[in-house]
Formats: sequence, structure tokens, C-alpha cells
Amino acid sequence: MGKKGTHKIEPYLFILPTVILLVFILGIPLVNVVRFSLGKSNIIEGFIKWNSFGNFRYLASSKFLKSLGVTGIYVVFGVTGTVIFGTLAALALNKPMPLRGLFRSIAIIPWIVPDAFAASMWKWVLNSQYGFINQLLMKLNLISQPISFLGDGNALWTVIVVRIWKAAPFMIISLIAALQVIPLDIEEAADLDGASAIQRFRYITLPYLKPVLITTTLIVTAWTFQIFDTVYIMTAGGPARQTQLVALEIYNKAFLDYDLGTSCAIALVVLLIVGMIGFFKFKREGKVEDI
Amino acid sequence: MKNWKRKVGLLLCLCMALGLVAGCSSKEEGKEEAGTQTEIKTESETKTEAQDDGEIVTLTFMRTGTPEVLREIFDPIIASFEEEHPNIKIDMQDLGWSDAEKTMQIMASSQTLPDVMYHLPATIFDLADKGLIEDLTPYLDDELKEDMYASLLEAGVYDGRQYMITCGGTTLLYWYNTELFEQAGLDPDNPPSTWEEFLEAAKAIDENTDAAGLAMYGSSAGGETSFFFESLFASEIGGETWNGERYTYELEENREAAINTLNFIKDLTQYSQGSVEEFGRFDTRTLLRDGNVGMALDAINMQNQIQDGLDSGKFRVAQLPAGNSGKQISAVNAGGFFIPTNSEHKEEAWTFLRYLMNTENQKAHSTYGSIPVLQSEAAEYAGNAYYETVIQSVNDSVPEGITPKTNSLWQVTGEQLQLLMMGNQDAETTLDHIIAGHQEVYEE
Repeated sequence: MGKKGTHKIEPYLFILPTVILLVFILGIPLVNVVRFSLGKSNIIEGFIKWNSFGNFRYLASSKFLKSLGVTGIYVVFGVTGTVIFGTLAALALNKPMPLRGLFRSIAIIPWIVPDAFAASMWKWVLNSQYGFINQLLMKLNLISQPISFLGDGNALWTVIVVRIWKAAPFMIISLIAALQVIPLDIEEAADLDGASAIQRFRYITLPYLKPVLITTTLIVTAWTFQIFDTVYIMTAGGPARQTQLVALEIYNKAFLDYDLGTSCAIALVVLLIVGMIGFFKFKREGKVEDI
Repeated sequence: MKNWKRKVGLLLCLCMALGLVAGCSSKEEGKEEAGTQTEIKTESETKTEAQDDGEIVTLTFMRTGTPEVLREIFDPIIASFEEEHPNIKIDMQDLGWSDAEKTMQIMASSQTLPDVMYHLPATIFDLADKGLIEDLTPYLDDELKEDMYASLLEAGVYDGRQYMITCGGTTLLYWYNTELFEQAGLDPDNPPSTWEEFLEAAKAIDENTDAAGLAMYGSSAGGETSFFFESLFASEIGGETWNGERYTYELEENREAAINTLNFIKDLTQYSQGSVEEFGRFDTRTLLRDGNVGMALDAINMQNQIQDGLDSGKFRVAQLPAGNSGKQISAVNAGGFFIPTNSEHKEEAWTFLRYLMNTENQKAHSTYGSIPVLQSEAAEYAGNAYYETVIQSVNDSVPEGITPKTNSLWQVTGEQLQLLMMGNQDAETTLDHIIAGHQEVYEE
């Protein structure tokens, strides 16, 4: 042993506090989620008995598959909208203009508003009977009948728009920071060479933004996949399960059906998907570092 | 120097690791200590706070609901109870409805449910199934039994045992705006008493006034719409909606009655405010209050929203219109007090619970939003037309079907009723889907 042996274990001793912390805050809950998913379980009694993977059968039910489909639409359109809107807003807010600081501050307001408050606010603003938006549109004679934003056929699109509104500021902040590192002389040289605005964006801005854009998109995707409170408050998954996201399914199973086992089985699926997103993110970061 | 720095770093890391392990283990020990302390505290609070007149027991008490309103009701009751029972102190704790279900399950899992608590029967019966609720049958005295309305007493019975003492409840009542009635050419003194008359009145208001015929709620809060359906179905068949095992609308012999009821609900939506899937029961109360609709079928809690109008005669209440049975009856939705098995002072807890059920105390409690639960309470309202209607509805009510699986059953019913009210499926399909969905829940 001696000096050589000490040197071998030294790195492990340095990471020991972090490992212990992770075991307690991640490891134990994760082991419990797996354990509860393998049998009949509820919050009060915990794991009751093994049920031959019975909880996982729910994952093949039409109800769950519909929820997964709804979540897919919510994530795809929510993230795409966030990326497009966030990028456009970041580009606009990066241009020199009067009161730019004020506009940037306003742009991040949706991000700092608590989710539950934002959801309640939108629910009232969009109400078909006394909501501000319907009243405004009717006063302006743009519509003759109120629009049921949270009603049949519209609810999913409405919660997607609210998601974009809520997530875009994160994209804006991240991209503005990335835009600031683009050397001005390259842009000026391209300008002198007669490059159009689209060409400048395509061949100068976008390559610089790409690493940040990919990372933030992955982060927003993982967050969007786990959204619960906004949709729960605005629609509670309705009407007719049209906004029943997987996160709401987990909650309903655990607290309304008292079926913690199935709830944990669904949570494992979400964990797998979010884990894969995380894996791609780290892989991507590894690549960037290699560069 | 470099070596020295590394050694210090290593030492610090080890200290942190030890600290974490010790922190976690001391947390466990702390838990035990805290447990012991709680016990000691409980002991000290509940048993060993010896005074000249004997031991002092502190009971924890929780009534789910809006704390600021409930405290106003219960503070004077608790004060007078403590005066009458100097050896018992009451520690009232708050629990809002939004957190209630989660909080109760967590408290139940850690055996920390309060000594006396109010909640809804589905949750209470689920906890009773797990052996966490005290059977109150041996405690229940004849005086209270005879004083309570039969349907309300029965609402607290599960598996032949009295687990809950009902202290709050509601039937489905028919609320209407007399001014809009007159504008529509209807007679406010003779409100509709059958479904056909009710539909005609809704149509008349819808066509002859600026308001919609009636307020309808179809948001996915299954409990509200399930109660609506169950109450109407009770009046369609003129009897019980639950046979102890399943809803009676699932039985083949009641299929026609169930479909009639569902068709009636669908017909009502055409005269409603529209976008019913966006509205919960609470939302529709403001519609009636503000004159946007002429009628509403709602719980007793509507009273709090339109009290001034009720006093002035602008609004009135009537019994639920009758279906084919000709009986104007409703299901009754109840909540009540219970004592968990983890209570260390069950006798004292019952003493307090029984005190809460005294006529005067129950009358005060009912102001939070309840039909009279006791007949002695109802007797105090003799001659009051509003209360006479409400009391009649209680007399004619049938208990709502409740089991530990009610929340899941309500979810199924709520989703299917929502599809029906949105016009996405017919009554037959709705009933078939409800029966199939319920069957899955029963078999789980």
C-alpha cells in the first residue's frame, strides 16, 4: 500500500460526500419507485405484495397510450414553439434599440411568475363567459360568439401556447448570452461582402448558437415532459382527457385511485424518456468539450 | 506544500462525508427522538400536565375547508367545550381542500391523523379498509341516532360499521331567478316539478330573456357530475342509487331509466350557458348570481353566493324536479367526523365529537354550507320557507353511493358525462362506457 495505495483511493474519497448525498436524495427514492412499481402498493401501506408486473399492464391500455400521445403532441409543439419564438425574440432583443434593457426584463416575466399563479391567471383570462380575451375580441367585433379556449378541441392547443409563453424566456436568456459572443467583425465582414440577413443568420449566427440551442432545447424538452401544475390547474386533464398528460396520469393513479404501483410504473417510463434526453444532452456536451 | 494542501482537502472531504452520514443517521435518531419528544410532548400535553383537577388531555382536531371561515365557527364551540371539560384541550389545525387528499394519506401512513377529523366518506372508508379508522358503532347513543336523518346516518356506514358521523351534507336543489322567470312568462310561485316542465322553463328563459336557461357544469371533476347524474337517476326510479355493491343504474332492469336520465342531461345542455366542459359547479354559481342564467341544479352551497337575493326574493329554491317516478328526490352527498385508530384518547375524542353534534353546535357548523343534519336542528327553522324546502329534500333523499373506490368510479363517470354533455356521444354509449369503466374499477 503506502503512498501509491493512498493515491489510488484518494479520488474516491474526494467524491465520497457527493456520492453519499446522491444516494440519499436520488438513490433511495429511485429504488422505492422501482420497488413500488413491482407490486400492489399504496401511499399508506407502501409495498403490499408482488403482482407479477401487473402494474405495467396499464402501460399498454388505450387510456395510457392516449395520454402518451397527448404528451407527445404537447412536447413536440410546445418545444418547437418555444425554440422558434425564443430564437426570434432573442434575435430581436439582441439588436441595438432604445429601452432594450426594459424589453429584456419584460421578456423574462413569464419565467419568474409561479406556475400555479400563471395557470390560474390564464384560466380566468381565457374563460369563455367572463374572460378578458373573449370580452376584448367581442368588443372589437372580431368575434360574435365567445371562443371556448379551454373547451372541446381547443384545450390542448391553449395549454401548448401557455407552455410556450412560460418556457420561451429561458430560451431567450440563454440565446441572448450566446449571441453576445459572436464577434462583431465577422458580421461586419459578411455585411461588406453583401450577405443578406438570412445568409448571415444561416452561416454566422446559427453555427454560433447551435451548441446552446441544442442544449437548451433538450433541457426544455425534459422540463416540458414533466409539466403537471399548469395543465392540472387549467384543465385537470379535460375535456374528455384531451389534455391528460402523463404527469397527470401519475398523480391521478397515486392520489385518486390509491394505486401507487401503477403510478410508479408510469413514472419509470417518464424517467426512462427524460433519462434518454439527459443522456443525449451529456453526450452532446461531451462532443462540444472535445471540439 | 502541495502535499499539505491535498491532505487538508482530503480531510475536509472525509469530514463532509462523515457529516452527511452522521447527519442522516442523526436524522433517523432525531426522528426517534422527535417521536419520543412528540410522545413525551403528547404525554405532557395530553396526560401528564397534571393540574389540581386532574390530567389534561390535548386533542388535535382538523376540519377540512377554508380556515378563516371555519375558525370563526369552531373557536367559540371549542372555548365552551373547554370550559365544560377543563381536563380536555382542543388544538384545532387547518387543512385546505386542495391539499386534503394528499395530506391525509401522508398523515395516515405516518399514523399522525388528528384525534378528531372531518372529511369525505370515500377517503374515510378507504382508511377504514386499512384498519385506520375507529368503528364508532359502540359509541353512538340512541339520542343522536334518532335525531339524525336516516339517509345521513346511513351515509357514514361502511361494511356494517359506523365509521363516520355525518355533520355536513347536501342534496341537489333547484335554484331559480324569479325576475327572469317573470320575464320569460313563467310563474315563480309554481316552479317546474317534472323534467318536462323543467325543460320547457329552460327553453322559455333561453328564448325570451338575455340569459341562458340554466347553468350546467361538466368539467372533469367527476364527483360533481356523478352526484348530478345520481340525483336525477334517483328521481327517475324513485329509489336507491347504490345497492351496497354497485350503482343501480348499472343494473339491466334500470337501463331504460338510466338512458332516460342521460338523455335528460343531454337535453339540458342545449339551454345552458354553453361550453359546459369549462365549468365546474363553483363557477356556475356566479352565473346564477349575476343573472346570466335563469336556473341551476346545485348543492346547498349556492346559498352563500346568492344569500342577498334569497332574502329579497329574487332567488328561490325548490326541490329537484321529478323524473318518471313522480318523486322529487335527490341523492345526498355527505361528509363527517371520524376518529382514527391512532388516537390515543378515543374516549375524550368521542366526548368532543359528540359535543360538536349538539343541536346548537351543529347549527353553527351548518352555516359553513350544509343542509340540517339533525332533526332537532331542522325544527328550529320551522316556518322558514327556504329551510322547509331544504328539509323536505333531506327527508326525501337517498344516500349517495360511496365505497373506498368512489374516487376512481367518479373519474370514469365524470369523463363519460363530459363526452355526453359536449355532444360527442349518445346516452346509450355513455352508459355502456360507464358500466364498462366501473367494472374495471370493481375488479381491480
